[in-house]
Amino acid sequence: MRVSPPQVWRAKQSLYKLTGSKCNKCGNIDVPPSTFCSKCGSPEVSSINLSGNGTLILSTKNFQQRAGYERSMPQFIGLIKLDEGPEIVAPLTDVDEEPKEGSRVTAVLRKLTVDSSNGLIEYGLKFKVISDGP
Amino acid sequence: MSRVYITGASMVPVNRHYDMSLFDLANSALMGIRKTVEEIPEIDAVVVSNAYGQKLGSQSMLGYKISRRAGLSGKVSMTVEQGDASGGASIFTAYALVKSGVAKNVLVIGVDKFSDFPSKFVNDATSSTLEEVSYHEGISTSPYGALMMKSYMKKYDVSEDYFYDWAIRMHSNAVENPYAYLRFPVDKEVIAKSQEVSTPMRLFDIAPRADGASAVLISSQDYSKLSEVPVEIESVDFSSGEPSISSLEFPIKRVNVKPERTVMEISDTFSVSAAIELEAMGLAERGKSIKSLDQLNVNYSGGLKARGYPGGATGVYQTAEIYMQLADEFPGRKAKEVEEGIVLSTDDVLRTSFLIHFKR
Repeated sequence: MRVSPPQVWRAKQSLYKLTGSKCNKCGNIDVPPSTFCSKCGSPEVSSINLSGNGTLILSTKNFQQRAGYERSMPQFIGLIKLDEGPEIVAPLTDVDEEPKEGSRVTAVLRKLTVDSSNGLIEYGLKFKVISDGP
Repeated sequence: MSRVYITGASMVPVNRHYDMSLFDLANSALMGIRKTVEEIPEIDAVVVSNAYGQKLGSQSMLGYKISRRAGLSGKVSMTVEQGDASGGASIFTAYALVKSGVAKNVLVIGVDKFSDFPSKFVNDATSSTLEEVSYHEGISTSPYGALMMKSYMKKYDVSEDYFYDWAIRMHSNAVENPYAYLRFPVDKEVIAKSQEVSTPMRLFDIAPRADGASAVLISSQDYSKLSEVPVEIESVDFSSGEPSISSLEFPIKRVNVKPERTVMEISDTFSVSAAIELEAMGLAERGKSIKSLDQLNVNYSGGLKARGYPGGATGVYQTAEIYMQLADEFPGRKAKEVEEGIVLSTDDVLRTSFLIHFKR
């Protein structure tokens, strides 16, 4: 079995919506959320819902296959600076060629993979271009 | 606190060893140690460095299993896993055991095996080093390398062909190394025409995965004479932190060595990793390291790029290579007039690193 419902359920804060944690001491934002601040180690962190909007810094067209994700190849992956500050690496969707640097992107829910033995579907966030870069 | 020495080393040629299991490979490396160290001392601990055996070999507890097969039941045994930096973490573990006096002689065995499965399954295993959400999203490690490469190209205004010299140099070195996997030269045309893996990164910007095993004997000062040319582990530093791809700030320590007197083996999972590491360690000018290779005694093995990339065994290979260089036993391209050595063992996207400093 490839898709584990409990694993997907536990990761829902990151897979289905963009949640982070903000350190009440140093202000650092961690994505995915963390119990302790990854910068200063403080346990005084608050959960925050991120807008899901950001700017594409760089992107790559990836041809390297991974078992279970063959149908999404070739795959576009972006380095995205979220409006709240953190940089993340995430899959892009609905693009045929590498988008322009500086494009505005937003998180959307998409199918990630399907379990070949029992048909379970795993969903997660990908980023869609909403306006081209300068 | 005892001083710590490398007193023996062996390597199995990196290759697709379809006829060998994880245990066959480890045993072959151990046999190599037995052949090169005249009197094997009493071993107090066995540290096995392995990153992907659980996923690709369905084997856990390799520390115990390999030590039992080596006739070392009853000794301290463990497996150390830290992704591709497992080798550096294992050397650090052995160093700490000897330095503290807990052990006098520690056998470190690095072993990993990739060739039993097609690439897409191997990519799935290596992607397990990424954060949980990235793994679920279907991302593999190569796009990270590609984004680092693009970031480097943008920051230093260089094009893709800037990186070609790294692959050319690594293949040229590997031709002379009997333990290397890709023992053939390449030129710019071959690299430029090679398959795109993750734009702008091509096949020759990426280390080829293969099977391998290497063993290193780490001893206290009392046993340093086991080696004709004792090589001391002067220090092991550790860095860890999330990299910032856009700024290319990676958590790797600067080193205080004379490059012309130092032989080094660094982790070039991607050609851009080599550039970033050399610059972050202060050994080359930022944005120009790949054009400065003539001034550096770097990766005479051929590096991960051409010696091959045996996963969690890599750092143990690197340590064996530096030991052999400093003991004047390396069968490939030899570094001249060097007194010190450096191993930089990192994970594939440079989040964690072990920097091991050797002196003859």
